[in-house]
Amino acid sequence: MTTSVNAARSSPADRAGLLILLAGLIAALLVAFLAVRHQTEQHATELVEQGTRLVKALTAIPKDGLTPTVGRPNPLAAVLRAHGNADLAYGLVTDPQGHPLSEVAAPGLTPTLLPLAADKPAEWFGHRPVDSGVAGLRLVEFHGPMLQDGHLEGFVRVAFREPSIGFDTRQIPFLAGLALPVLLLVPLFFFMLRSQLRPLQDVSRRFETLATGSVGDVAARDVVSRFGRFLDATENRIRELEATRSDAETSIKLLGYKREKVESALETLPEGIMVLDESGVVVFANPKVGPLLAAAPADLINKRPAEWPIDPAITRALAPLLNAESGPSTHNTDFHPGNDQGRRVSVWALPLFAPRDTTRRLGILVVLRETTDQMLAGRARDEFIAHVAHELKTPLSNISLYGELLRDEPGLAAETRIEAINTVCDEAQRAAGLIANLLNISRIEAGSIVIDRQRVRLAELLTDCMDHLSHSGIARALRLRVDVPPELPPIELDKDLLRIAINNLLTNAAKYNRADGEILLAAEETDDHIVISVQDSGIGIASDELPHIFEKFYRSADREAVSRGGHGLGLYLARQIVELHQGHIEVVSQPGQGTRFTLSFRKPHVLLRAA
Amino acid sequence: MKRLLVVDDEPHVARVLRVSLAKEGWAIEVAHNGTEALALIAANPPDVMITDIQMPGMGGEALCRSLHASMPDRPFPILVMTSMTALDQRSWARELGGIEFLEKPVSPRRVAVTLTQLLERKNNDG
Repeated sequence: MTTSVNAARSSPADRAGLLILLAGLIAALLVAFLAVRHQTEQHATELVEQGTRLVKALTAIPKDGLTPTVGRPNPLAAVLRAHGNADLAYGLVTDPQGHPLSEVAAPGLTPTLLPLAADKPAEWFGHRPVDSGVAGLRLVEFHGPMLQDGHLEGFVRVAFREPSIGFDTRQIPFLAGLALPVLLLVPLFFFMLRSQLRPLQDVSRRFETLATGSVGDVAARDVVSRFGRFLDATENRIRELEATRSDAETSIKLLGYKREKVESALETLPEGIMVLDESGVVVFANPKVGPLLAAAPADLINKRPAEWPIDPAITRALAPLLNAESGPSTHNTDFHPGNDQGRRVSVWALPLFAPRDTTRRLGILVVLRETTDQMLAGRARDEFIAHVAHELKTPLSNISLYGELLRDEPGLAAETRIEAINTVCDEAQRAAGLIANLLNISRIEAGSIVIDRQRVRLAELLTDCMDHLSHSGIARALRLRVDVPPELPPIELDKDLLRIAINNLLTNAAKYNRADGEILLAAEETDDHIVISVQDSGIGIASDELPHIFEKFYRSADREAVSRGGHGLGLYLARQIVELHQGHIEVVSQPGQGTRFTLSFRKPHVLLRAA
Repeated sequence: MKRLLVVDDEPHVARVLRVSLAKEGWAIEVAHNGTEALALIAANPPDVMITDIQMPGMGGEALCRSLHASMPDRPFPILVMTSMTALDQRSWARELGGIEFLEKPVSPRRVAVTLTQLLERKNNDG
């Protein structure tokens, strides 16, 4: 039954074949029609040329040569016969009025005696269509004048059958030559197409059979249905994937751009930056890491800390920070590069978590920074505090010692008691002086002191300073002199600061003087400077110590000097104050003879010139 | 007469102790730094030595280490009396042994009591 159904239907391939065959025939007919038409037009052109040429040839013959005479054949018939054209309908020689003089006609045809206008020379030469008198046959007549010494003697008229479009037995070979290859190629194409389409035809037939249910196979229909749904779903999925791919490409471009920006920023940071992934492998290291770990960043990439080509001591120091499995056990440590205690690098390790899942660790961010400056600053600060504490505690300790002695020893000798009381006073002044100097140094070093210049009469200032010294206990037995010329001009200085500097110098001059020594406080004028000097007759300063006595906290190692106390800040502060005034301080000393400090300040005109 | 060597760059300590310890039967000798002290000890070791830590030249720690190296059976106890915070100095003192600490400011009476204790301990050990 299935077979009969299939046989009753024409397959798509068969229909395609018939269409191809029909199209081939139409093409063959069209080609034949065009070919015949072309041939006909060509024949008409040739006919005009032949007719015109024949008429010209006949008109060149004298009229008598074309008219028949008794006893000889018609010369016109002989000429036309010699021409040999099968389409020749008739030939005619007429007088100017159109009366025939000679006539030759094909069988069944009668020449048309349609006259020509003898008075219109322009129409004498030419051709025209004429009626043959036979149905369906049209003629073309060619005509020309017969002239004798310029006079019209008659006309020559020759007619041919007009070529027509239509089947001509003479065209059979030509048409057959055209039609044969077309008719041969069309079946060939048909069979080739059929062989190519046959597999698709079979598949199509099977699906058609299943879809129509003509076989009653429910399972097969279900398969087809599911296959159709599968195709629909697949198509939808392909569209979704295409959209996702487009989004991903955009995201990748954005991420690439952002990554470049982030890496550029990380590479310009002053700190060394490293990123370790969750397995502890370095995935990023900026150039600053190199000098801090003494290894090229490229040699760290894709390696775990144990594989880094660096000092093993540093690897051990960093180990607690770089544990990728359990995370950093500590977040900060320091190490000394090359075991150089004068350098310090601080390292911070921070775990990196997934942005949307803070329980998932992505790796470790490591930040390295050279903290040598902070270390040295910290050491200097600690040393400074220790030094100040020591210097403050010493006079307080002495005050305490003597105070307890006075309290616990009521039977002290009068001389010892006086010494104890004087020492308590001196040590209290020493502590107060130290605190005052520390505060002033702190203000100068912080830059918070503003110089308040005012006109200072040195004679008054220096005398006042010396009076202050004379009332302190340390200068009780000394001879004190002030030598300031009365004509010394006033000078623009910060009087309060200058007083601190001079008091420090006078205190030293008294402290390190002989018991019956002398202190001379003087001032003088040179061309460009005002010079203040403080000269004592004390123990002096060794030449190797002179370059250091203006350093902060510098203390002489000389036993005699040490025994007389001091905190190493007085001269440092004096120099700071003098230099704040663009002045200069110098010292000249002779051990055992005494010391002279000179403070030089430029006069106003020198300052103006310098400005 | 008990002999006490005071090593301190501050003269006041020795002056006060000389006055306050005289009636306790102590004779005071003074050195201003470690070098001077070593010279005095080499000539005649004291019964007790009191020393400061921070001094110009040889300081107190260097003095104690030098004594520990040159006199393994040092016959006298040492009392370190300093104005520096003593806590961070005790490690080297413990390492050397036989060194007590007193932080300044300290009263003369406290010094006298401590010296007596050190002397008794020395006599008992001896």
